[in-house]
Amino acid sequence: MDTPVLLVVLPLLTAFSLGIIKTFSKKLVKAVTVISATVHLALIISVVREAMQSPIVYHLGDWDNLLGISLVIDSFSAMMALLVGVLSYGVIIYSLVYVDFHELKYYVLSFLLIAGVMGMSLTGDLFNLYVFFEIVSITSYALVAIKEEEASFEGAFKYLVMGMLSGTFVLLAIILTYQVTGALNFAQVAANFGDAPMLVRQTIFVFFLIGFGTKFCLVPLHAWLPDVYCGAPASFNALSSGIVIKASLYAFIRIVFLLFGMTAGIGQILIYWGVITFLVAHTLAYQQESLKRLLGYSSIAQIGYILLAIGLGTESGIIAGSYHIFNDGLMKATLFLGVGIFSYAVGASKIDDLRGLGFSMPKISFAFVIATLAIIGLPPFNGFISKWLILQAAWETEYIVAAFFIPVGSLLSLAYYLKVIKALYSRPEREIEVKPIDWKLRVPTYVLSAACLVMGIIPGLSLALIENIPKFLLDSSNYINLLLGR
Amino acid sequence: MVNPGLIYLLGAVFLYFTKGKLRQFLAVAISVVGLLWVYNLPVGEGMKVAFLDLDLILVSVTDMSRLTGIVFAFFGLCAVLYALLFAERKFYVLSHIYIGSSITLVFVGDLFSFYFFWELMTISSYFLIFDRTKPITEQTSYYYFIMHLVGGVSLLWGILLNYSVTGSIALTTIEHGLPFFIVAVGIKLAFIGVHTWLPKNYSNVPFYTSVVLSAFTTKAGVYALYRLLGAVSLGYAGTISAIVGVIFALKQTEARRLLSYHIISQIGYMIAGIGVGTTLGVAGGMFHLFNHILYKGLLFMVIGVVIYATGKGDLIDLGGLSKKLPFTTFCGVVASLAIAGAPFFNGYVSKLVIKSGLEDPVLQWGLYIAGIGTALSFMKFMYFGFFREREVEVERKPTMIMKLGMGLVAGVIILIGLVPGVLESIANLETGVDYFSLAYLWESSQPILIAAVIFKLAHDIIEPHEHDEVDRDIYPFVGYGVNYVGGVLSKVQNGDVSRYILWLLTTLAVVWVSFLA
Repeated sequence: MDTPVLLVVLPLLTAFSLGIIKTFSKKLVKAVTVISATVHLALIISVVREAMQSPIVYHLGDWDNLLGISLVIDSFSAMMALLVGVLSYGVIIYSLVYVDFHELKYYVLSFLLIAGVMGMSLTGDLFNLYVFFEIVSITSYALVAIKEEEASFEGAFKYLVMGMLSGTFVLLAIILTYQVTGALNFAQVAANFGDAPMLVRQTIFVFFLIGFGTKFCLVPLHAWLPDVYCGAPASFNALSSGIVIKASLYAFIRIVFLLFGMTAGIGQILIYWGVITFLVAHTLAYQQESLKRLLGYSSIAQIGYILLAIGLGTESGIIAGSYHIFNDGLMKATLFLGVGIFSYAVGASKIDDLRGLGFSMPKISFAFVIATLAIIGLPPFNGFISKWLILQAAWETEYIVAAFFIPVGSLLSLAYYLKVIKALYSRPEREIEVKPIDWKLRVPTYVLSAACLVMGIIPGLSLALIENIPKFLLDSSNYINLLLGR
Repeated sequence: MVNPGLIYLLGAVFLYFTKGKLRQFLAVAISVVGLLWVYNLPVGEGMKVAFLDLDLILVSVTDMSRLTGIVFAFFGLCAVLYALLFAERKFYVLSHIYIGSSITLVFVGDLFSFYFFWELMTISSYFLIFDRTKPITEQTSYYYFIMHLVGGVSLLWGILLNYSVTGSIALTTIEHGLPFFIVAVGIKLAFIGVHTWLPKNYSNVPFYTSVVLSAFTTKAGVYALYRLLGAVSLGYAGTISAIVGVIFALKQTEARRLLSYHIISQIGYMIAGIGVGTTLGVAGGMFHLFNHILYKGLLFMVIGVVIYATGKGDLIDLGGLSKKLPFTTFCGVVASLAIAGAPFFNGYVSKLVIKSGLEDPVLQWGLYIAGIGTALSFMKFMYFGFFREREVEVERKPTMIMKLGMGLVAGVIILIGLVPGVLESIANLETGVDYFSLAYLWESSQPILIAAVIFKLAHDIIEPHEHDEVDRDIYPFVGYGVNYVGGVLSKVQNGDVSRYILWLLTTLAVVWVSFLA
C-alpha cells in the first residue's frame, strides 16, 4: 500500500491543483479543499492505526533504502501525524468562514504548510528534513503577511530574518553531518556518527540546538514569536502554535536521540533551559494586553515544559513530554480558534475587548475557558495529566529544582489566564453587537475543547498511542534497524 | 458502591440543560437523593479505578467521613432550597459541582483523587464567587483563586513528595512533605495569617451564594486536617486562630464580614480539638465541624434574609427587625446561642467534647476567652441587628421555601442540642461525656454571662460605628514583585530585530564556548 506517502503528497497535490481548479470554477475551490482535507484525515487515521500495530517504513519508488527517500512512521511520528491531521482538519473547516482575504493563496499556502509539517514528521533522512523544514518556513512567512496589514508585514519580516538565520544553522549542521558521516539517511548517519571527532559533534549539536531552538522558541531566541502572532490570522496561529513549532521540536528531539543520545550533559542543558524558558515566558505573558501575544508567550512556556520532560531522558519523561506536545496542540488550537472567533464577531484583540463576551457568546466562551483551565494545568483537564506526568518524571530523576518550578509555572499562568477569564465574565462597558457565528467556526472549537476534557478524564485514549515512543527514541538501534529494514 | 458526590456532578450537567420548574425540581431531587445516598452508605472501600499508573480508590467510607458527608449533603439540600426561587442557571450548575466535589472529596480514599476534587472545588467556587452584578468580585475572586492555587500547588508537591518516599498514594496520615501539606490545608481552612481570602469574598457575593460557600471550602480544609495531619500537634495554633479570629470579628460592622471572621475563629476550635490528637479532641473537632456548618450556615441564611428584605447588610444601618421578620429573628437567636455554646444547642455539645479532650490548661483558657468574645460578638449581632429600637424599612418578606430551608437547619440544631446522642450515633462513637451535668452547664454558661456583663458595661464601645479599615494584607506585594520583573523583561524585549539577532548570536557563542570548554 502506498498510503504513507499520500500523507505528504495529497496536500502537496491539492495545493497545486487548487490554482488550476480556480481557473475553471471558483466555487469548486472550497469543495476541493474540504474533500481533500477529509480524505487526508481519513488516510492519517488509517495509517496511524496501522502504525500502532507495528511501525511502518516506506521507501519511495522502491529505491534502495540507502539511496531513496524513506518515510518512517514509528509511534512518535504517528502521534505527530495524528496531531497534524486533527488540527489541520479543524483549522481548514474553520478557515472556510474565517478567511475572507486572498482565499486561494491562503489555501494553497496552508496545504503546502501541512504537507511540509507532515513531511518533517515522517521523513527518514536529513536532507528531506531540511527541504520540508524550509517549505514550512517559507509558507509560514507568507501566511503571516497574508492579511496585508502593517503589523503582519512587520511580523513577517521579523519572522523571515530570524527564520533565515535558524535555517542557516540547521543547514550548516546538516552539511557538517554529511561531511563527517558521508550520509544523509538517519540510519546511516546514526551508525557512522560515533566516529566523528568530538569537536565536530559538539558543534553540530550546538548548530542544531540554535537552529531549531530559534524555531521552537527557546528563551532568548523566542523574541520573534509574539510580534509574528500579532499580525497573523488566528487560523495560522493555531496551526503554528499547535504543529509548526512542534514539528521543529520533533525534528530536534529525533536528531538528538538518534545522533547524540540523551546524555546527562545534554539533558541538563535542556532541563534547565526549559525551566528558564517557561518561567521567563510566563512572566512576560503576564504583562501582555494583546490576546495573541499572551497566547504566544504561553506557547513558548509550554515548549519549556516539553523540553524539560524530554531532557530527563527517561521513559516516563519522554512519555510525559510527548503527551504534552499532543495536549498543548489541542489546547492552543482551541484558544487561538476562540480568539479568532472573538475578533471575527466583535473585533476583539485585547484582553479588555473581551469584557462581557462570556454572556453574549456563552458557548464559545465556555469552550475557551475550558482550554484556559486545561493549559493552566488544573484537573480534570488534559493539561493537568501531562503536567502531573512531567512532574512525576522530573521527581523520579531527582531534578528537584526543576520539578519544583513546574507548579510555580502553573501558578504564574493562572495569574494571567485569570485576567482573560475575568474580562470574559465581567460587565461590559457598553452594549455588544455580536455578528452571527457560523457553525464552521464553532464546531472545530467545540470539538477541540471537548477533546481537552476527554483526554483529561480518559488519558488512556492517547497514552496508548504514545506508550511505545520511548522504545524508538531511547534505544536508537531500534529505529535504525527499522529504517534499514532489518 | 458509588461515590455519592458523583450524583451531584452528573446532575449539574442536567441542570445546565433544563430550566424553570423542572430545574428547580431536579435540583432539590438531586440533593435529596444525595442525602439519602450518603446516609445509607456502608462503611468500607469500593470502586477502585486504575488511572495512569495509580490505583485510585473512589469510595472509601469511614465513620468520620460519613459524618462529614451527611452534614455536607444535608446543608447542601437546605442551601439549594434557600436559593431555589431566585438563583440563576449559573448558580444551580456551579453550586452542584461545588457541593458534589466537596462530597466526593470526603469519600475518596487516595491522595490523587483527593487533589483532583480539591482543585475542582476551587475552580467551581471561583466561578461561583465571580459575579458580574457585583463588580468588586472581579478582584476578590481573582485573589481567591490565586491563593487557593498556591494551596493546591503545595498540596500537589506534598503528595508527590510523600508518594516518592512511601510509594503509595493512600489517603492516610502524612509522614513526608508535611510543610507543604500544612500550607495547603492552612490556606483551605483559612488559618489566621492566610485567612485573607475569606472575609473579602464571603461578604461581597450575592447572599445565597455566601450561604453555600460558608459551609464547604473551609470545612473541606478541616476534613483534610483530620485525615492528613493527624501527626502534627496544632493545639496552640488552633487556639490562637480562635482568639485572633474573634478579635477581628469584634471590630466588624458589616454583618457578613463579622460572620466570616467567626468562621476563622470557629475553625480555630476545630484545629485545637483535632490538633491535640486525643480521641475526644478529634471527635469533638469533627462534631464541631458538623455543628458549625449548621449554625454558621443558618446565620448566613438569616443575614441573607435581612439583605433580601431590606437591601442592607451593615449593622450600622440595621435594627428593629425582630417585629417585622419574626421567624428570621427566631432562627438568628437559635444560631447565635448555638455558636456561643449555650446549653441545649448543638454548639454546646461539640465545644464540650473538645474541652473534655483538652488537658492543657492554656488551651482550655484560650478557648474560654474565645468563647467570651464569640458570645459578645453575637449579642452585638442580634441586638443591633434585630432588637434595638429603630425603624428599618422591609421591602419584601422571605418566601416560604427560604423559611423551609432555615427551619430545617434550625430544627436539627435544636435536636442535636437536646439529644446529643444523635450525633454520636451518626459517628458511631461513644464519647462518654455527660452532656447535661450541672457542672458542665454552669461552666459553659459562664462565658455568656461574662459577655452579657461586658455588653452592658461597654455598650457604647460595642455599638457599631464607622471606623477606618486598615488593610494589613501583605500578599499583593508578591504580585507587585512578579509584575515588576515582567515589566523589566518586556522593556528589554522591545521589538527591535537587530537586538533579537544579537541575542541569537550571543546565545550561540555562549553555548558553543561552554560546550567546547
